[in-house]
Amino acid sequence: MQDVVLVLVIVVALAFDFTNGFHDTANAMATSIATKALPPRAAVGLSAVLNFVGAFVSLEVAATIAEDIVKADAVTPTVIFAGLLGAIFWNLATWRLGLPSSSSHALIGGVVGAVIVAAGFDAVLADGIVGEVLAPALLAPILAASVAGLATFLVYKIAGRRRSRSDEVQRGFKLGQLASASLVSLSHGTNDAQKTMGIITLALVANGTLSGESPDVPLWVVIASASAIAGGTFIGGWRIIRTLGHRLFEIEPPQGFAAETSSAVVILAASHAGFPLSTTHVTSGGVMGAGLGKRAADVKWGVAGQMATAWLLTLPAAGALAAAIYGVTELLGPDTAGPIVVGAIAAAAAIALFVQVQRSPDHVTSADV
Amino acid sequence: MLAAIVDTGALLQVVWVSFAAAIGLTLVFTGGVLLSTGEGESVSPVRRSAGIALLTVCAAMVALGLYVMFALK
Repeated sequence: MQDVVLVLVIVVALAFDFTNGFHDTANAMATSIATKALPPRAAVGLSAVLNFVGAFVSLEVAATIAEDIVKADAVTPTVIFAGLLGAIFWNLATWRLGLPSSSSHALIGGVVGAVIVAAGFDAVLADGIVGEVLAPALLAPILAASVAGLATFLVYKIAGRRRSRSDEVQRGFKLGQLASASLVSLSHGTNDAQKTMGIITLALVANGTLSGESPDVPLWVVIASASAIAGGTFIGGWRIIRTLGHRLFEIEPPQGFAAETSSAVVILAASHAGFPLSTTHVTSGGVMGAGLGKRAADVKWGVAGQMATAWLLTLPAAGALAAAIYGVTELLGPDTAGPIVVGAIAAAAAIALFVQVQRSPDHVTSADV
Repeated sequence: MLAAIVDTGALLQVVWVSFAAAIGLTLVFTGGVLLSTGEGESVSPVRRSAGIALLTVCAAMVALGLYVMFALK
């Protein structure tokens, strides 16, 4: 791999990590912000610090991000480059719409889309797609919603409706929310920063910078990945935070506590058992379950339907974007010219989207959540 | 066919651990909060102590869970 392409892949991987951070801030902190357990800025600050710490907790590198999904020899630097850009643009599009969607699935979809154009459908491992992506995607929200729904039901049953609304009890649950949301942030940093570390390590191995036999992750890669995800988290994806915290239903502290506790437990249990679940699917399912667990809670099914649609579209949409990006990159010259030109166009498009969102009438800030 | 593709052992483990740990934690925490807070009236020292004991148990459960998840992996 040429050094220019290596640098581009590293930059794009860190950019993906950054979008992963701000896209997923809502996973941990939306309910705590909605119930006013923490001010918005303090919540995203706490989440950023815990994401940073979480990235150092485990270094079992996920260099295998697409190992069981596509044939290893089909993954080239240009495939990684296009896959990352496809995932970034899907993350930006869903952020623009205020919809939580899985960054991991976007990345997998991106890599699969680029691989299909590069090496054909034969290079895609169907069993891996079903076992590692589709089945967990179906299971995660159902499991999290069931656990959070039962937990919420029991809390209101034990506390009683009147008692659960008293100031002292609400304050207690708000403190509980801080602990459970912190756990989700920590586990998010542990799981998601690994993907970027894995991709950069993979690129360094392909370039010959690192030895291919069980390479150690360089410290600068760990620090850069942890910083990118923490920086993105600190920016705060306010549009998605508003969706999870307010647009599904008006959440109360006992529901927030039940949702975050259930999400943290499911994420950590799945991680320990080696069962790949998306943090976004788990936490969104947890919030929905907390809404259903309280009698007469007014869950807005239209918003839930939009979220489910975004989940369904993530793999094919990120795949289609990455396939197109791969095709254009190859057309312009895969060695250096293609990645440089496509990277510059992508950066300009991302900046233009940010500016457009900032100037739009429905721009959401920390004051709106 | 799906059972051959999906790791059902890991899946079942995730399901039962999730239900047991999340419901257990929520119940113990709720008990702790309700016992240690009053409803306008003062709370007896015994009741408050019981509430604090439950909250301590809750913190210990979280610490043990994190130890099992990370240190024993």
